[in-house]
Amino acid sequence: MAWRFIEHPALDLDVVDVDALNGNLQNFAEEVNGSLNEHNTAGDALDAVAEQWADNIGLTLTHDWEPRDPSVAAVSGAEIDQSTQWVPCGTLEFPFTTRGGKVRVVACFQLVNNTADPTAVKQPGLNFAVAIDGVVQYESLLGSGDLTNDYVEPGNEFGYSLSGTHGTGPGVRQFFASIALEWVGRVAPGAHTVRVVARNLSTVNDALVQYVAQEEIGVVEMNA
Amino acid sequence: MSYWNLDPIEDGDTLGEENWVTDIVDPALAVINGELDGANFQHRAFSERHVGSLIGQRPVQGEYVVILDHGNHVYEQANATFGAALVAYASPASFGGGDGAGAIATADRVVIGNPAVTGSFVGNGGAAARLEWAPGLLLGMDNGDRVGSIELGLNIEVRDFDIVNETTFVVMTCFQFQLNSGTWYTIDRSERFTGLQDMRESDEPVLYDIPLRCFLRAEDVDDHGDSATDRVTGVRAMIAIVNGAASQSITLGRGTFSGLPYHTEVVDP
Repeated sequence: MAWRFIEHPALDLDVVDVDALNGNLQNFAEEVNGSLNEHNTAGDALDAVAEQWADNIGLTLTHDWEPRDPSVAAVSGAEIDQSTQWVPCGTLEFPFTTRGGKVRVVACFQLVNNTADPTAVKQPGLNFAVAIDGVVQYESLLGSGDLTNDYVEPGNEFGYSLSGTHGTGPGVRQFFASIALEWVGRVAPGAHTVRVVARNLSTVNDALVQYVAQEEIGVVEMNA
Repeated sequence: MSYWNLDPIEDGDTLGEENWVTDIVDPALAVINGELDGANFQHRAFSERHVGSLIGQRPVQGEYVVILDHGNHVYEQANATFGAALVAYASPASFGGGDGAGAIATADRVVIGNPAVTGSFVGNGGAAARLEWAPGLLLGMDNGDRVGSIELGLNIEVRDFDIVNETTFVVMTCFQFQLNSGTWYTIDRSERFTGLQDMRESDEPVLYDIPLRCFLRAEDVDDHGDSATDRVTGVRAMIAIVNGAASQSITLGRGTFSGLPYHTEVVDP
């Protein structure tokens, strides 16, 4: 509430103007009818009404997870299709509804990127990102592969380390890896979908072992 | 919303005490004196610091973010404080468990950081990845503290490890929460495994960051108690070497651990 003063003060001997009277009152009515704010309340006002106003919620969290044993081979995991284009990463995808405005997406999942066969082709690296309504949000991009910065030995993109457990290229390529993605952005009012997507830096004719075990996504709607 | 329906004064009205009071003043007082509700207020009016927040109306002492020691904390299986637990995690198939009341180690995992009860860490001293709250929080928007969720976050740097087997060195990290200052329970879905072999050449430092995120909810408390009565008095981050062997060790460095209570409506999609 703005500080309100009498707009049309009355002085002695003034002729009382109906419009002025109504104007004065209307100002206060307008403030009471939906424009009150923290300046109209005492500092401890909410102590008494916290129970009553529990639904005055500032945030909404839409949250889901998928538990999946990471130790079992791909049959129990969600396979990440081999592609240099963005593909679904994991099986978790869900809708959320918002009044519009700023949302924060937090995703965390288990990447399994290995095979016991030391002679099999390995992973040169993966990129991950959050997708809203199928649109990749590049601010959330995780993983490298920018050839201006990261060296990839030509002809050896799918080479493997001394132990034979994983590849030698850039990007996310660990044997096991905990991946965390975060994105903050604005969305339009209404229903949306969220998921994590992935892509390979390079592909090869042989199948690459890459899948997702347990995964969790939370969408925090910051009701601003 | 209680609406002050202002009845304007018309030209020709007799402005006397009666109609002034009954037509104008009384309706206004009826609204202002005890009938105001949320719709009378601007959106986000109560998000301002002026009147505080709807969460934390009950006293909760403690912190919400911990900055971990920037030095090297060396966790050695040979150390009696956490030796057996450090290497006891059998395999990723174990997936979950490790509950217990230990301040530093429970079953098959060890708290990350350098807790006050030391003698066990090589480091410069500092905080553990552990937050404790008094009297604790009731999770669930239907419960008294109106906390829909606690967002847990960890980033911890691995600096070195001493491995016996070159082909496999996997660590498990996860979150736990404590109920009523008693048992610590693992959030099973928070377990993440990180393969560290070949993350370095010979004696070079590793300098690899492990991230972890999870939302703790009332349902997690209900798995072990009753969210309406059992308070979350602590959260912490744990680590273990998977299928570890004797004399193995791991060195951690800087990190951040956070537990952020949200006054949040929680929606299951």
